[in-house]
Amino acid sequence: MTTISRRTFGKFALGATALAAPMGFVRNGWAQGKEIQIGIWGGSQGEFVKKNIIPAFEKDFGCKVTAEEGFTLANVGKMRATKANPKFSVMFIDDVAIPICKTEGLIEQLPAADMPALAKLYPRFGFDGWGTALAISVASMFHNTSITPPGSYAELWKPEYAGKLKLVSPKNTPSVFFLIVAAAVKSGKPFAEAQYLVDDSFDKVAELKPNIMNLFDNGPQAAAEVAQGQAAIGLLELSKYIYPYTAKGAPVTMSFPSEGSFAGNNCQVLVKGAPNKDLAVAFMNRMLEPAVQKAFSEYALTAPPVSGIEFSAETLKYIAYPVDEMDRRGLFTPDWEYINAKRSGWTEKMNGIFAV
Amino acid sequence: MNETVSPLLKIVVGIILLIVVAPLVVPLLMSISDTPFIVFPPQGFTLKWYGAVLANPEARASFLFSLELAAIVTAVSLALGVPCAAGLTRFKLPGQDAILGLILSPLIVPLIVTGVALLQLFAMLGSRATLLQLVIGHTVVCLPYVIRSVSASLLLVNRNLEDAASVLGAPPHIVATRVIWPQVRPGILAGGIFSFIVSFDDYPISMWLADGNHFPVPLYLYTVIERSFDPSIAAIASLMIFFALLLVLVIEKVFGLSLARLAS
Repeated sequence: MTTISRRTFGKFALGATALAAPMGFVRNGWAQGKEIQIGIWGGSQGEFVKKNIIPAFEKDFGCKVTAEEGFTLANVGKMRATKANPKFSVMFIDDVAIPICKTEGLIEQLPAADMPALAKLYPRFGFDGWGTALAISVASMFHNTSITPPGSYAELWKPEYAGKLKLVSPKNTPSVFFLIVAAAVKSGKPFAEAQYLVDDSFDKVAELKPNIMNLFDNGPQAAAEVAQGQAAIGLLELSKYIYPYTAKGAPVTMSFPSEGSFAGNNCQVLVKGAPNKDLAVAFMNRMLEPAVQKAFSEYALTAPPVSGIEFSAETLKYIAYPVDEMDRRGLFTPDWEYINAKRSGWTEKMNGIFAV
Repeated sequence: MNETVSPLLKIVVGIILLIVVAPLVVPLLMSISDTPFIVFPPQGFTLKWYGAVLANPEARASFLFSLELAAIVTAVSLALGVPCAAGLTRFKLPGQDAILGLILSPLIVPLIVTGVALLQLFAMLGSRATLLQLVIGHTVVCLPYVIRSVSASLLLVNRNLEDAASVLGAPPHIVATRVIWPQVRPGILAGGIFSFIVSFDDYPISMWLADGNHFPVPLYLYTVIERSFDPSIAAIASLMIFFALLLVLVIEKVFGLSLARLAS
């Protein structure tokens, strides 16, 4: 039997520690010194990503992540403009734009094997591997708490609401939800069928004009105006813009008419030919990790796209989670491929109706 | 000579001033409201929103970056614009009108289009130098203002005074500094001020070219509005109004840009 003296053991132990120590420090050594540029959203979500998620990720990976705040259409525009020589590695966009980006060759499929956090992603938020959702908001009507909101969207067409409604601008995605609502009210069909009847429903849209006080293109501003009583009801907007005011005690909240509500899916995509793709994938994986998703959701009051997260009763008042709760509330996700092909024509028609 | 101003003119000027200035009072009032969201008329009184903005490192960084960017762009625009204006007004060049049209074209093309075109160009060149890109982008937009105002003042220069100075033996550099400079100075100063303000306020070019480390005030303001519509937004707007007023006062004090001097 070989015997090892205490001194020899000490030398071995010291040597082994010296070898092992750098391995510990460089757990993510492959990422050291690398840099990626990402396009994120503005708003409270962007604020949280910049102030909390990125610093922790940079510390863990010894890398640099430069985040540029924007919005979906601008972020798609940036990907288009830099397609020949991509500047961004990860882009945050809404689900509406994923089919466009896919068709134009701006994004690539995610390497699922390198993203263990995908295991808990609800399949409906995977977009066939072309991106993942990060946050799900509910899009619906919002109102001043001093009034009783109608139980059905159809009631909004009544004369008693003349000049009392704020309508989302045609340039914002929720305006598509409004068109589907108008088609559903006219046809009496559910949203899933009504979305294909929008072309025949602009007369119903025009009928609402006397009840519209003005159009808005900024959700937080519209929430503040409804809270002040400048308008009684706003339609439609994402809960992530309204509930932060409700939580602060402002007299504004959301209501969910009998026809149902819409899902607003904020997503992340991997830019095709992304610089430092391995780091970009690691960042996207980090965004889906349960601890990050929990904190992100609680801050922005949005639902996570992954399973197994526990929320307090207070937070659950504002979000539709887990996925069976989304189903129970009838959250509807439109057929964006169909709608994207029609949207510019619809926008023109809406502009024609509501132009001063 | 004392000229009497008619009471009607005073009233008209007063009304115009009211229409122009009154909207600026609204954000000032909203910024002191002691409520978690913007209300008008304000409720209560607090200066905490100013404290929050001034203590915010993001706000400070954006403001300082915008100042830096506007100062660089102004210097570059003047360095390029003054000789360009002199060349276009004092010499007959082939294709002069085409050159002028090209320089002034950023005023005609929507800035958002100019911005995306520049982003595309820089991406094709593989450029990652954000500050340089922003300086180039803003200069493209600011240069027409400098050239227009400097050209106008150069055209008004009394050439007889230059000839007289030369005939009396003044060398060219003395003519330039003692005869031409006093006449064109207001135009150059006006071009510089325009350039600074256009760069400081620019959103559409910066939207395409900025990044998280180079984030001018207008972009910051937009993101803050998206985050929460609280009185800190009115506080930022008020601080920008105070800054513009301060700028005008400093220019007036240092350069003496008074109406009387411009008229003389």
